[in-house]
Amino acid sequence: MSYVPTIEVIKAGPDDRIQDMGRFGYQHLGISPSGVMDTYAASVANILLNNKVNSSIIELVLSFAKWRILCPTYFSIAGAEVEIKLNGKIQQVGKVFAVEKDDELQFSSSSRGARLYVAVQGGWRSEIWLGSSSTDIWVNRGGHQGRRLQSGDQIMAQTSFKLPEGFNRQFFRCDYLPINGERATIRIIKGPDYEIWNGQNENTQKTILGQISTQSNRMGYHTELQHPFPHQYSMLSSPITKGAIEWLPNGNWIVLMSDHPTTGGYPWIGTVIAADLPKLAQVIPGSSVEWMWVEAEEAVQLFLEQQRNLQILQHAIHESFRKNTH
Amino acid sequence: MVQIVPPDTFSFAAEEFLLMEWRSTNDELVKRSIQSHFHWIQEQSFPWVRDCIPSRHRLGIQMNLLVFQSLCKHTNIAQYWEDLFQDADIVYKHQVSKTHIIPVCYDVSLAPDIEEVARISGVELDYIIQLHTSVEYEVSMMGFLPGFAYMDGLPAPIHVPRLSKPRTEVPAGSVAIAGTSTAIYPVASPGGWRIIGRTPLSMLSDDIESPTRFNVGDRVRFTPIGLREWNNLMHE
Repeated sequence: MSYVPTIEVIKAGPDDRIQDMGRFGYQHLGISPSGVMDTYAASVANILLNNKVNSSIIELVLSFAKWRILCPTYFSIAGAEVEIKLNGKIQQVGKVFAVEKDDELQFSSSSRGARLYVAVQGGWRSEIWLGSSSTDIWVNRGGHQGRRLQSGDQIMAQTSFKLPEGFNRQFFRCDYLPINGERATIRIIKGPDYEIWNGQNENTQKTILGQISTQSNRMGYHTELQHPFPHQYSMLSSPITKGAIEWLPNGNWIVLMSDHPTTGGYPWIGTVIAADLPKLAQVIPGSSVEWMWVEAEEAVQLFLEQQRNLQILQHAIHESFRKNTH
Repeated sequence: MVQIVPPDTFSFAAEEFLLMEWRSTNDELVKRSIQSHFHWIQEQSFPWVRDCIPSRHRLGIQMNLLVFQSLCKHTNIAQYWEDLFQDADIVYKHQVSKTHIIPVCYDVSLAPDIEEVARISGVELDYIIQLHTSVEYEVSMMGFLPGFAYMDGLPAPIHVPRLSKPRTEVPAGSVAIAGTSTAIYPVASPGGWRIIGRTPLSMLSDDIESPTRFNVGDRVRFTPIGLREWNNLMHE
């Protein structure tokens, strides 16, 4: 497979990185899975191009990036409702489109959501570390030189791809995107240390109000609760996962996200349901969130339903690709 | 035969994460049991297990729910694992562990907290070094950062609490202590442990089989080196 420079970054956003579905298999050594924050939107972007779901993808966060195209190919973009212009002409999020040499792609403000995923046919060329192209900036490995994209970077992709004539350029919109500036509802289930929380907060409410702090990042979303309950529980560090809600001594929460450490030392009182993690990844820091308790059985059903939807989309696109390839 | 026990609780911590906990106060029994279960799960290479993460009292299993459901046709994950352990007859196997000798420079210029540790503990500076290098530590768990090993066995006279306010940046290679443990910061990061020295060795490698220097169960000894030797090793 040969790779050619495909884009040049004219202007980079604050945290544009190459990711995939994560680096699993090394958490017992303290190595975080990393990976895309919104796994659903990233999957959609890759699926629309008939890529493998795990193909390396560029994640843009509240980015006003500007790229110059160096080689003709196809992109598909999914996730936040960002205004995108190709040579000044509005381009729809959630669809495949062709780009030509010397085209200019400009990303700007978003009305819904924070994160946008740009897939290219065959995936972006990236450094693979421990089986994954996700960028780990702790150790500067994976992705593009183990770091965020910078202006002047040229990113490569595979050449000589052609989409078959008659291929279904399906439009697909992520329907869970929060409206920026409005309160988002995120569903949560009880965590392993829920009883500690429950013992302290006897009038257990069905919902809890909080605000995602502006200090939030890919490691975790700090949540300042409307009614924080400080505590003094000390815990032995133990394994943890994406979506885990840790109860900090000052009473607020931290919700672990993709770059989370593999172990945590605060009570793990709840977990964001897997079906709502894509939505949480799209919530802009500073937004208010209503955390709503649901049952574990419901969480599993919602997750499986979401996964089935992706499989159906994948099947449909794959069929369209196959039927039109001669 | 060396005794091990199954976990006391299995909790459904997330759709794709099961957390097991051992509640015995017999630390040695818990350690043996967790390590035996960890190695057993790794040996099985279950296609629905993405990660198995041991700690001092809990073992976490990151799963792939879709693969699990289509292969196992089971809806109650916690019950599934409990039954699996009951049928599996997991026994203790002695694991051959590596022993590492780690050179550490305890010079004050690389050990910003060593004088404070001396003050808090009442142990003289030279004796801190002697104590820290006098024992063989055991890696009880990995976590916090890639390749960060929690090493148990720190001599009691130098048990000190963490910094009340963590540093925003601790240099890679810093050797630090907190409570009953010692550790090495593998990469530059924020941190609240008290820094008493620095090693010139890297804690990470590009070897896909063992990307980190340490693993759970490994033994570690520290050996003191001077500033000049530290410098030479750094530039090798």
